[in-house]
Amino acid sequence: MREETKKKVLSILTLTFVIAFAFSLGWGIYQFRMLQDYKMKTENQYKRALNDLVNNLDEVETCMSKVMVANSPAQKVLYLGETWKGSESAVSKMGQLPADEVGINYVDTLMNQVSDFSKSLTRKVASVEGMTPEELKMFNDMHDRVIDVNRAVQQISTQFYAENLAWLDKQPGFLERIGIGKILKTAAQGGESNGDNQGGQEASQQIPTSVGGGLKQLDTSLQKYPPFTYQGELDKHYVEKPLGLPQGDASESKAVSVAKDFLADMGYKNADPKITGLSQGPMGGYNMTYRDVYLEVSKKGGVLTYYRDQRDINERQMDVKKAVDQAYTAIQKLGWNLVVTSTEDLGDHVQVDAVAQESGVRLYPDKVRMTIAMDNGQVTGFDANPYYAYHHDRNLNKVLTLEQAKTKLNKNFAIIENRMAVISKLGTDEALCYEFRGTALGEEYLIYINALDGSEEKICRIVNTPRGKLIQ
Amino acid sequence: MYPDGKRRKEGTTFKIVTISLVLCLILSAASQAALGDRTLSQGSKGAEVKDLQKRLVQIGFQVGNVDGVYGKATAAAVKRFQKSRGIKVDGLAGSNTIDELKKLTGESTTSSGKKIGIKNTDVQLLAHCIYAEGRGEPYLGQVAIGACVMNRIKSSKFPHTIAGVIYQPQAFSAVDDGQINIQPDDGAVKAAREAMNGSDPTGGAIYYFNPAKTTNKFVWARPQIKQIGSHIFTR
Repeated sequence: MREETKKKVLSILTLTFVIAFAFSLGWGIYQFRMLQDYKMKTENQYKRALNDLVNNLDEVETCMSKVMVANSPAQKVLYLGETWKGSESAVSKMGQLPADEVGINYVDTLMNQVSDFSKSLTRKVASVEGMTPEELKMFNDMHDRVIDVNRAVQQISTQFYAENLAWLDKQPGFLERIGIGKILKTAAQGGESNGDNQGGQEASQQIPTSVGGGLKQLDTSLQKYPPFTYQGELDKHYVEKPLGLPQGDASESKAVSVAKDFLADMGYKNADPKITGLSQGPMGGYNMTYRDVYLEVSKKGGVLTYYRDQRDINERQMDVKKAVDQAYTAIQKLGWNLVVTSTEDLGDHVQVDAVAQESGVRLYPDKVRMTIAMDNGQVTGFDANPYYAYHHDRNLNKVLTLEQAKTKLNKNFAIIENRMAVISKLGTDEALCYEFRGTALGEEYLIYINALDGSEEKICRIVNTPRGKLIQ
Repeated sequence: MYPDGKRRKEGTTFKIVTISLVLCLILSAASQAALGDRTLSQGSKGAEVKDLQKRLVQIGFQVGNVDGVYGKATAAAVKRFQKSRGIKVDGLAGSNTIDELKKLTGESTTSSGKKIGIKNTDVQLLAHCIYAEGRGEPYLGQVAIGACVMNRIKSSKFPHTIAGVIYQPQAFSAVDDGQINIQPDDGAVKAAREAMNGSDPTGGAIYYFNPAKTTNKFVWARPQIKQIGSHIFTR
């Protein structure tokens, strides 16, 4: 009797194990197939990006060669346009390839510059200005460098197909993958290769062992060339030389008193801001806090560049018009001469952009952005960084008369209002323009006619968004 | 002339038809009640509530499940929405609240009123990035993360679109580990909108890192601009 029970239990156990094993085996096969499937899909995306990149580069290289021989503006514009879009696309494709770090910046920089430079040339050539000999020379230099990049990437691609090259050099080991071996990189994007390039020289001689490695070598080989400099360059996000900061350095105590005065003007009684940090760079200075308020006073010139009160906002008590009035009151109190150019209704706040005005000419680059709290009309934000970065004495003498400028407009364009304005162009370039606001074909536009040479400098479309007017 | 009986019969038929028509109308109105026809409050159910929830989520106010049930999470989202728009905070979706919500979730139009879609659709992606990278940071620190992305677009070293910058391999740890897919809160969406609008509290930074967590030599070697919250922003 006992023997039988034992046997029974044993056979049930065996059966359970067999079923469990079969089940887990099935599950494993299923998982493995799924993984293969996902891997294939990802690989295909990578391959597609690599092939597109190779094509883009080849296309750009060919078009650049044609630009230099073309004689008619029509052909020049056509190939410049293709160069511009092709190089933009190459940068985008490069960003889709796997990488173990963000460090392949030199290729990106070169292609972005080619794109940027061709864009500005497209405009020049189309307006029958033509390319200057210097511009042609630079374009030629860029072409040479693009040829190098093109050949290197083709080499990688050929090797990829011939030798089944890996995408990346060394994969992280199992321990790293599960996060034990190495600390995960934080928000700190970026890789180490750019920082220490002592290994660069020998690396460029090696035959790449992976696509990522090959691109990294290419990047290193480009580092030795001097960068291109031309009018209207990119990299406008960072201002190297602020034009509007007053002379002289401010001490800590001076900075604190500047902040105190500002807070008094904004309606804080006996405010006592404390320095909590320093910021570097040409616009850098003293960072201060007071209750919910954060302020920055520049070291050079000792002016208040940034203020924000992050207090809780209560129920809305006013409309946008009232908020703009409040902004004007504050501007006056601070002793500025600004005109409000746009507003955005953020609900609890209204954001107001105001620009400097000089003898009737709006200086759009010299901008101050304010926010007004809608519960009591207090100014809760003040950002004068753009103003201090760009404000300087400008030559505001025009050549064209208003009537002459009007003849440059599209026949269907019905003018609503016009004024003079300085606008920013590509990079740090500016232009003195006639600004025309008007409608055509059921849409509203801002059109800028250069007041010196009469060219159509810029066209902005105005659309009504739920939060206010958007200038595109 | 018709005999009396027939006329009466006709009258009855007419009544029945009218009544059923009216009933039909009422029923269809009830089943397709549009958002804004009545005040919704906790406990409300139906298509209008679902519409309300969808619109709240569209502009970054998370309600949990979009299930057509006005529960605690929806009421809390309505309260946050009201607070952010300066409307009386009561958690009830009355006409004021719904009008404001409809306005903000509407399309952009040309000056002649033609609908041209929603502008700045990238704001959602940027908000995801900000939330994944900087939840727990002060609001200004979140705007700063968004400004970093926008600065990269203007820089010659990076791709020229928001998606291009955010999905560049190894650019953001939150993309590589999938945190980017967490739904952002309304603060992150607000910060994203402000950054896209051109606000830059970083002074032109294109990198940032958390000094307590980063050993990466490359970012430590970058020229630093300032610290906002727990991140150091660099050029």
